[in-house]
Amino acid sequence: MFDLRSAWAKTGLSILAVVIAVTIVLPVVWIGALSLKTGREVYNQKFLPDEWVPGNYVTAWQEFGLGGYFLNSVFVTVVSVVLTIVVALLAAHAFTWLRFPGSDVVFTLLLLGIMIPPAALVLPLLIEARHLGFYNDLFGLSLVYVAFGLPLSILIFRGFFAGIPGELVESARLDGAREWKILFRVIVPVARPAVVTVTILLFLANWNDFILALVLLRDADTYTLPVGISQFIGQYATPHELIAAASLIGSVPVFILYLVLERKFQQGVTAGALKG
Amino acid sequence: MRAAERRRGGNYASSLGVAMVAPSLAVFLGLIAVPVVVVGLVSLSEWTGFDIADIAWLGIENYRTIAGDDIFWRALRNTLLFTGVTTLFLNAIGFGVALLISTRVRGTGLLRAVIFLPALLPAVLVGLMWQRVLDAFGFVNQILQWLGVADQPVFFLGEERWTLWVIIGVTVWQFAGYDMILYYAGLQGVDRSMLEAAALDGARTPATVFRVILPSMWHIVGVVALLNIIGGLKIFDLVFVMTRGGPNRSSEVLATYMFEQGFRFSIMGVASAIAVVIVVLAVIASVARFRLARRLV
Repeated sequence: MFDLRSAWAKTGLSILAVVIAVTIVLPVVWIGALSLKTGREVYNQKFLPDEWVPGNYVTAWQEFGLGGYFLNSVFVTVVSVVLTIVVALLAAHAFTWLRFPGSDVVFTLLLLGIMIPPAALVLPLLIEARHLGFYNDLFGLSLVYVAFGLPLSILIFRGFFAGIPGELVESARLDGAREWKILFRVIVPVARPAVVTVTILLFLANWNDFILALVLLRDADTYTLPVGISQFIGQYATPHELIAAASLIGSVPVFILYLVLERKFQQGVTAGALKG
Repeated sequence: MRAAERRRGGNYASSLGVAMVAPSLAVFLGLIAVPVVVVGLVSLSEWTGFDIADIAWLGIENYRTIAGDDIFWRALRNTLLFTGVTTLFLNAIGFGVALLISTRVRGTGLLRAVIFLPALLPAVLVGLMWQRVLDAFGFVNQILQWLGVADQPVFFLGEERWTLWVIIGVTVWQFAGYDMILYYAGLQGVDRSMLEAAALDGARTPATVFRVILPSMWHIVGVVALLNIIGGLKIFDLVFVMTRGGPNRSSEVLATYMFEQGFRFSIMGVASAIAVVIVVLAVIASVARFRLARRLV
């Protein structure tokens, strides 16, 4: 992009890039080293452990009950992402090809949801959850995630659908296909990039959510990963090396998905931010 | 049968359309619209505890209460300071790194891969890690002592003058990559011929950046900054995990204060009034963002 004729400039920029990259990674590497130390070595000044204890990960997994939190997180994320996508696809299809009187008003109304921060609604949501019976319930929490995920999902799908030629729908209709078949057999295959984008955005938002799960779940056996792990904060009896191990274990799923889908993640997040 | 339905035309299509939108509308009304109305109503009521029978109409008294509450102003000030400073640094670093990466010199591939990763992690885990990194035996204190800058460990999360800045720093660490990705995407849209013309004119790199690149992506700067502002106004997770707003309210923000008033002290009216302030601030920033974003396309 720039005129980089001088080799010195190139070398300088390379060094700068590596220095920034190392600065970013180093604290996490230090946590990795901490997670492998013995309890006694935690307080010494050495970067690397003298004695390596990979068993800390097993201990953290068992003592913190991470397996249960993990499954809860997976359940809530999968259910909410799948539901949001199906419901949003239906709505976007109607907003694009089955408009009805007032559909523009409904569309605008739904979009207003993007502006509302979930944190500001935790009190009324808790009241509602208690009275309607979805308090302390993983499926109830998933529905709340659906509500907060829908507006942006519909917006992205609607934007993508607008670029699909109407003849595609018309000819499928002439062939006698039912509307839901048109959506899932004709439109969705074409709209796959949009579905991938929305999946990534919803996965990140729901997997990482803290405050909604914190408020809407009561019993430890319903906790998601962030809420479960946060219970050990401030309990100074909890060994540091185990906290380090637990926080790295919790980061692994995102990390693996990112390694596999790096560009897709970057494109998805960009689309969500700039188009949304 | 289906042919007959189709002949009836518009009516069938439009009632089917309504049916397809209905699930979205139901979830939206039940779990966003109704809570917004409820939080507004509760903010105008006196209500301690969770029993709906105890609720009583109060008018704007709760807003008077927070207007006269030093801690509320502290939380608001901290929230705005946090939002302003993180937005500034995130944009400066994000834009700078995006430029650096777009030179595609060696090492930038590595940088691009690692700088974005923290933005994807749960804030709770990021907070947990940094709590360790910043504690008396943590990595930062080890470095400070190794450099000889400090002979005693610095209690970053225990001293009032550090806490908010520590949370600002961790947020910048976490989300610089997010801004970078957006600016990098924006840079791909900058007209190459303009850049080449600038290079031919002998423009030096800083001049190219400030006279050619920045003006041509002004809207992106606005949208990214507003996204950071929206994210900043609702800051909760990191503060809750790292400091709980303390010590002595030094890192209290609106969302943590609301949480405390509502869930620790069960003062629902006041908590809801604070929530309304958060919603109003978020809506103002969001409206600005949509207006700008419309011009992006």
